[in-house]
Amino acid sequence: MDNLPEPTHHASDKEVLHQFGYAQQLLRDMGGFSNFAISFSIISILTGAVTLYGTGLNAGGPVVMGIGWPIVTFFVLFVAASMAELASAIPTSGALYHWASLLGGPNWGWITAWLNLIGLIAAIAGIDYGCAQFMAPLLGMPDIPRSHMIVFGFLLLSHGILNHIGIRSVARLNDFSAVYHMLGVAVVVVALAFFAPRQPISFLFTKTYTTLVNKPYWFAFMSGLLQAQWTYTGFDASAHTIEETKDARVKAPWGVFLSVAVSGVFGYVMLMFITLAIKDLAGAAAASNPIQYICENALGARFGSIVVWTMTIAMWFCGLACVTSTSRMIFAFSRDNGMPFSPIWAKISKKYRTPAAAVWLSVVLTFLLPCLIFGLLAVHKSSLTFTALYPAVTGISTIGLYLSYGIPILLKVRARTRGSWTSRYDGPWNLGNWSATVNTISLIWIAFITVLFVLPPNDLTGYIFAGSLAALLVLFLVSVRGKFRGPLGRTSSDADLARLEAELD
Amino acid sequence: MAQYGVFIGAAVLLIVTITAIMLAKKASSGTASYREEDHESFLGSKRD
Repeated sequence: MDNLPEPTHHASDKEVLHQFGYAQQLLRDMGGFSNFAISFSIISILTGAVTLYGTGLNAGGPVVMGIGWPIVTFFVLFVAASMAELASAIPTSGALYHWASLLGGPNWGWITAWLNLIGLIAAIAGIDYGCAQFMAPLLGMPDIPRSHMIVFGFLLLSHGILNHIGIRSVARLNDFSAVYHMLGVAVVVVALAFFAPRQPISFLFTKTYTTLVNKPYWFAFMSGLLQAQWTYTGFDASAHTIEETKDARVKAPWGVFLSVAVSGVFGYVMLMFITLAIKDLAGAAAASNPIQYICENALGARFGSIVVWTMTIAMWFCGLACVTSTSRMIFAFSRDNGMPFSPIWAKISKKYRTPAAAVWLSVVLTFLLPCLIFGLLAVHKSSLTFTALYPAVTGISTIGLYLSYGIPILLKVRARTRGSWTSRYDGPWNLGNWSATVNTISLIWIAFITVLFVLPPNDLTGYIFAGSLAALLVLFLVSVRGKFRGPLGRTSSDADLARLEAELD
Repeated sequence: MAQYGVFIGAAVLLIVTITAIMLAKKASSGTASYREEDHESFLGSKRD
């Protein structure tokens, strides 16, 4: 590959970054656990699996939890392993964008970056708006969109401030978040295991239920996989923070892979015990918050309230980590002039060594997303609400992110087929002769879910996503085509890199 | 029917677990030789 530097496996993190033409501008202070923790916090089994529990239950019933979760986990492990290989080979915070640019050229990098950004912004909006919906009633505010938006604004503000102040404090919070998620699951599981009546274990694997009409059950079951698939998003964060991770080419790939594997185990145990505690399946499926309904029915109102608080705090941690990841993506894309007004977003705070402008852009764009949706709903006088649109937002996030994961994997498969990618370019974390098979399975799964999640009842996702793609196409044709050079346009000399680093010291 | 369902469930879980372990082991073999020179474990402690 002409675009890749000559591999030198035992160069330092900084030397490797220099080989790719980038200066060490961000503070490299994260260990392996912190890198794992940021992805584990974004996957956040206490957020995704919980907020879309009703979606899964209504689509296919308990079988979606018992069989659907492991099926999705199985395929996402392949995607994570494929991404981990790329992170190890090309350890820059642009991650997917940078991988696609080097493997396929700047146009592929540009579209990957935007798909990733759309997915990440929709993810933060889904997470933080979901958190606001949980938190507003807990704070004694009326359960109406105005309250949700106020809380949503404050949540984003808190995430912006913490991410501005520094990676060190965010990393500590993410470390705590990972432990918090595990303890949170343990509390729910132990309480339900010892004090709640239980359905027989076969309930998980044989009990079907669906509220989708005019659809065969197998299709309804697959629609319900959105619950697990949305949960497993955002693990690219370990790659986005790779320039802040020590021993990056080994620890960040493990962060990508292990965050999925560990979430798979903890998520399954949690879903198993919650589902087995269902007393009234139709009642739970119809409830506005099925998890709260199940826990209250099984263990009383006080425990239900504890569970809601536990999950609300987990969502806050999840949103915090997601802003970190998105800001690194914007920073990396902007330093290669990929965004409008790039020089602004590529600036680093000299005091905190964080991409402060990119942090605040992430926050503002996220705040604008529900504002835009409310505006459109008001204009069209639609009976839809943002709450009803929640699965569509999560669907956009899932498809955007997975397409951005898939493009660099596809380009690597193409490069390998053409003979331009050989094992000498692999990083230390690689799957050797299994790589091609693992990459191919990943791509098949990504193609499958992309089609699945735009089919009815998720057709709204398809329309919104198609609109986003059309807007991107116009932007590309008008102002990007033939002009954007991506990371290939970098001509940083050693002196340039040293100067950039000296400015921040 | 119930036993059949449990059997399928157990089989799916077993496949997922084995896949995760095998992928991790395969990747570990690549990182092991790298670590020999870098002397760091995943959790950051120095190796003798």
